[in-house]
Amino acid sequence: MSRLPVYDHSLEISTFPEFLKREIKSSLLLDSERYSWCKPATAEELQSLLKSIDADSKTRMKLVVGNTGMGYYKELEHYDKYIDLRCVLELSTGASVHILTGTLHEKLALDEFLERPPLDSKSVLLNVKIPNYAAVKNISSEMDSKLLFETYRASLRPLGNALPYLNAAFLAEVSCLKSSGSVVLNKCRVVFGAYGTKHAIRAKEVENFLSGKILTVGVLYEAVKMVKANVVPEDGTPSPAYRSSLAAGYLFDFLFPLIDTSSKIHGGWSGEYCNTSLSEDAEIKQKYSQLDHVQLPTLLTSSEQVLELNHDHHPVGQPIKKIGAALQASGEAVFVDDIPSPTNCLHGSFVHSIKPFARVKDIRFKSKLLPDGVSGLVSVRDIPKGGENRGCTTMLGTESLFADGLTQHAGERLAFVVADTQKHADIASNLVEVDYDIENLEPPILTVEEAVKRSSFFEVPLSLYPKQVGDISKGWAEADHKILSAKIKLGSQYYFYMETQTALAIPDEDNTMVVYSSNQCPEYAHVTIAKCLGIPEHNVRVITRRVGGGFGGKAMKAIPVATACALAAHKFRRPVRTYLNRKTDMIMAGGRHPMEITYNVGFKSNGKVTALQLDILINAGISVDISPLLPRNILSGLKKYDWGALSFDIKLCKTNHSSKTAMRAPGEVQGSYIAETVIEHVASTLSMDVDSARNINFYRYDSLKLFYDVAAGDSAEYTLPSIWNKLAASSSFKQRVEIIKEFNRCKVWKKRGISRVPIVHQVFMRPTTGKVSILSDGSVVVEVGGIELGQGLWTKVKQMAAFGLSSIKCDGVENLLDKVRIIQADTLSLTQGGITAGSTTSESSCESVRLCCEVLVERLAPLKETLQGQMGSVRWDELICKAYTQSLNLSATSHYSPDFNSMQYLNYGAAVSEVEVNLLTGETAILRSDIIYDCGQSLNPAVDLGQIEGAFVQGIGFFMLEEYTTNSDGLVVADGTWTYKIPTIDTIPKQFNVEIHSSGHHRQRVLSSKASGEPPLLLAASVHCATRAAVREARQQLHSWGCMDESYSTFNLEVPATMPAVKELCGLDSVESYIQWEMGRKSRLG
Amino acid sequence: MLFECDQWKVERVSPVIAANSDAFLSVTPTHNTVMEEKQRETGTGSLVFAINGLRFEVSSVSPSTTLLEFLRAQTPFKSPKLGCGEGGCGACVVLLSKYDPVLDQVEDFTASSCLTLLCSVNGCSVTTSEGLGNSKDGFHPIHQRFSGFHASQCGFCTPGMCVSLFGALVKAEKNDQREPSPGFSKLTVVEAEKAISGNLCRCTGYRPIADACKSFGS
Repeated sequence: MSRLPVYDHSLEISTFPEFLKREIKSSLLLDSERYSWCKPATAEELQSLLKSIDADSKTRMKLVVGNTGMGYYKELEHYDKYIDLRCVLELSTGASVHILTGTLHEKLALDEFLERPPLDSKSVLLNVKIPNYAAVKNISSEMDSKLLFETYRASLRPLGNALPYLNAAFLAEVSCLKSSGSVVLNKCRVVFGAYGTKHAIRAKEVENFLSGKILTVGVLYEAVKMVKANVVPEDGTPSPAYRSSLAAGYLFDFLFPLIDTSSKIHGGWSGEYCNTSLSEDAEIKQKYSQLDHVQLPTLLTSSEQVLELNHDHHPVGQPIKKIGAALQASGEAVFVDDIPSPTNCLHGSFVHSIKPFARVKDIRFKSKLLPDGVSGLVSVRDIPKGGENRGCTTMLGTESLFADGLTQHAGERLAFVVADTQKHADIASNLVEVDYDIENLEPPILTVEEAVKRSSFFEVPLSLYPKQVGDISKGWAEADHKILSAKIKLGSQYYFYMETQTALAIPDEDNTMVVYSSNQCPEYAHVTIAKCLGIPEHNVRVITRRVGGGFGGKAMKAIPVATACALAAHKFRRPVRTYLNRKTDMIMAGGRHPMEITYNVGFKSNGKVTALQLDILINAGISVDISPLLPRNILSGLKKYDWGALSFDIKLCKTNHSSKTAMRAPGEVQGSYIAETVIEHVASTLSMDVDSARNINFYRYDSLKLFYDVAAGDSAEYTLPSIWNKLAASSSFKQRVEIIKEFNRCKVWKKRGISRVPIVHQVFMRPTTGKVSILSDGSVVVEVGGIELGQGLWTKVKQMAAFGLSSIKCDGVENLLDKVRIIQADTLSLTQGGITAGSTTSESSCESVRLCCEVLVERLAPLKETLQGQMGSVRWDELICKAYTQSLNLSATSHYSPDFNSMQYLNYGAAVSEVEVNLLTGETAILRSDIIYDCGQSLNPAVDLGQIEGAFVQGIGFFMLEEYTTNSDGLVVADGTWTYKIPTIDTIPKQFNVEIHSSGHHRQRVLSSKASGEPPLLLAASVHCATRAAVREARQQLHSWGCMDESYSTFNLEVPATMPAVKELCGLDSVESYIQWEMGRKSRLG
Repeated sequence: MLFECDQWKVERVSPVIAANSDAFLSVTPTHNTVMEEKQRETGTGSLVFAINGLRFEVSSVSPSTTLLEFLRAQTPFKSPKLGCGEGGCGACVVLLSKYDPVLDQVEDFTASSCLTLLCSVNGCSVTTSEGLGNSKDGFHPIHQRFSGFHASQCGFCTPGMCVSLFGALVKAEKNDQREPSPGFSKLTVVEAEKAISGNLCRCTGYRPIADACKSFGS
């Protein structure tokens, strides 16, 4: 606490300057003519305004209240007049119910209003009167009655910021029959909305049915059935059956506790509102608690971070703050789009295809004249002589910048509109018309099955294709049981970097081009731009300072963005920049590889797997990108268990989809998940505990070596078994398993699950360059090939530079950290920078810097010895000053290139997650996650902790929330924050504990450190597996009600395990099933 | 392109920049001359507002211009970022303050500047993360704690997070019911955490952000 930066609210800044207060006092009215902005003060004024606009039919106007004028219905049209309604008196007084329709005043009942077509753009809903129930109460006050009111909302985020699947509100006036103790529903209101209808509805049929009835399970059963018949979403609404079942579940939740309650409803309550869940009455309360109405905290309640500091290589290993974190917080950190526009700068916006396979006959603006501010269109025709249509270069292939006569996937770049502002460019790109022609063309390949049928594959170079392990026929012979042809389907995931793709290209003298790009591999962008423009590579300079989130998406996919800007800048001889809008970014991004897996597995009766055979079809999209790496990566994650023998056939399907590319842990996360699915399947087949099935398939070091070869390292480096056991203890795994069993036995509508999952993740180090220069005042400047994406690469590099130079052992080296600055990547200043990917760039950049420091220390050492001999001691700045006078070369460049034996290694970790599933809604809350991850000797434990937590939560997104959906043509339709949901603070684990396991010396590693960027993402499978466990409990319960046969324990929980997916497996009719079972039980009991 | 003048000497004028003179927007620098004061008293009908204590007078503007577009294209305050353009991510959040001259009260609330039309901020004061503090005038404790708690990785969402938290702090401080212990604010831990429930972050997984926010709560 005492170490926190001080906060004193009395020193807080003023949010409102005095001068403006004075101006306001002397009135600040906006000139409505000049700004086309009117601000009527009364409804009357508003009416006359509308009348005058009506008279002039040419004027297009828009009403604005706060934000609603824009809303998430984005404005892409032009309006002549804006009318700001915030000052209209009647809008805030609430005196009466008014709708202003054009020039008419109307009063309507709410449900009448809802049934009408939507108001036109000139109507204003002035106010809604919410009646005070006491005032309209007309029942006899002689009866002891009570009002109950409850609202419900099913949405992906508990705290909002997400559209609901369904909203419900119930109001009931109930009284208690003293004779029988049963409850009579005197009257009720049942309302549902937002489930895929034009407006909210009152389920009047249900209301009429329930009114006056004594509540029994039979009555409730009828009511629930009626609700299901009444609440039917319109055609085309996603998950319609789920939404209907939500309605049924909520009504059940509201009414069931009232059935058969013998509690007396005291007169003291009558006339009161009860606007939370049923309040004081102890017995009703108890009933509700049986219904598991215990509110979980919606937010993170506790967390613990355990890390061990290592002082061997000070300041390496210290948890120092991230470089520039305060600058990032104050917003002074400069991202690409924050660079001030140079004079005459133009802005670009992509036009993309909406067809998967078609000839592009023409691309033109709808109007004859160019739209506002537009300079022109850039397309394949603008590639200069000597240049080529190149948008991307990878080590495995290339991709075109623009479609050339034929578009091969929806979302393909067709052209680049260039205008004076980003807004004009974005508007204009929507005004572009494209003529497509599909005559005599084959139909597109949109599924992997179709790709197989038409043999549409990318080749995987033999050197990249992983090796089969063991003797598969022997494995099959050893098996007691077999599961054949089981299937898994995995979808894509979008990066959702906060900063979308962006670049700024500035033409310079002598046919050169400087491009600022938010990019994980500026070197590849550099090559691509030179090829596209047909100029030598030394004419291009790509500069990247920082990237607002990459996750793989700013690697290959950032290159065409930078190249398009460069091409446009080349064409117009003016600077051109672009900042993609989120929708375009989501349509063009590609994302993670979807895949379909078929597996056969053989195993012994004790759960030990003897043979695993896989057929995997990967949807790689239209171009090769880095997809040939996928088979190897999948196997790296999959081999975390000892499968006995492993054989596989992996095909890389070329389809008419946007090209899929690396996203954080590409392939590994799918492989790791496949392994868990197989183990879960084996366990459920044998009716054995899954955790035991995991244990029995763990590696011994010798089998690890068999599966992973040189990557396995020394036996001491195989830390997984110790992590596995340590985690069981630190997370109280065994005790919690018992507590959960008890919980699941007592609770009907909430089920919990817990799961412990290990990971093994192979990484590869790649070559990169570093440069360290010492300036005359003793300050140090460092350049590295690695890019700062937020992962803390610069911070680690800075620590390494300070450590490396401190070995000169003169005075003042302990403060070297403050003297080091890392500067932006510049592809001409530092060549061969490589690509920042695969989790290892921080350590390889550090290693190249360490090599530079060694060279510099070697050059300085003789001088230092001499000076020390003369003066007894020598300070760093004196040493450097002297070195300058002696013309020592104080700049060193090194290219680090790992050898084959040390370039690959394994990372280990394990996680335990516990979830609670609400069986009425399918909602999954992550109660707690505990992670232990081996970072070797962490270069910076604070940075690695951030990587572990961040990756894990991104994994939660993949496994639980994010659906990157497309239409039937493959065009992305989840194209914004309203349709694509990444985790938020209310969807992360409520308790989140992370321990960085410090595993001592690793001979082959950079100062014994290991990677942390991607592997922890795989651990999020523990959340999915825990959800699976909870769902299995729910299904077992259904089985016990006689509603599900013996196959209840075999099921496939989708990825992501969204609310509808979970609910579907827990029974869309679970409420009816339960009531029927309850009725049956009662009749059996007589 | 930073302002020459001290940002918190609020009476100073804004030497407004118009580096790229976009056709749809023109901003004129204003001077606090006696004559102008007089003019202002009578009301010129111009769009006038404050950003981080500096006076801005915009002589003409397309009414469809958003506050975010204006901030990013016409001022040096680029901490509000465009993340989604539909109010769904919180990267563009600014604090809007309104003054009621009759009650002599300031009302503060956070808003998505990507959805706020510029003309609607007439007479308002806008505070961005640079306005809370910066490298020149000293960072705000919010900035320092976000940095100290390792709550900023790529940093793109961070200014919006900071302003969201600041909005909650300002609101809590106006609550006369509460008395904070020294060093703490009047914000509760839950309020502090809820303050950023509408802000997306893709890097950190939120835990350190929640800790930074909660460090202000009591």
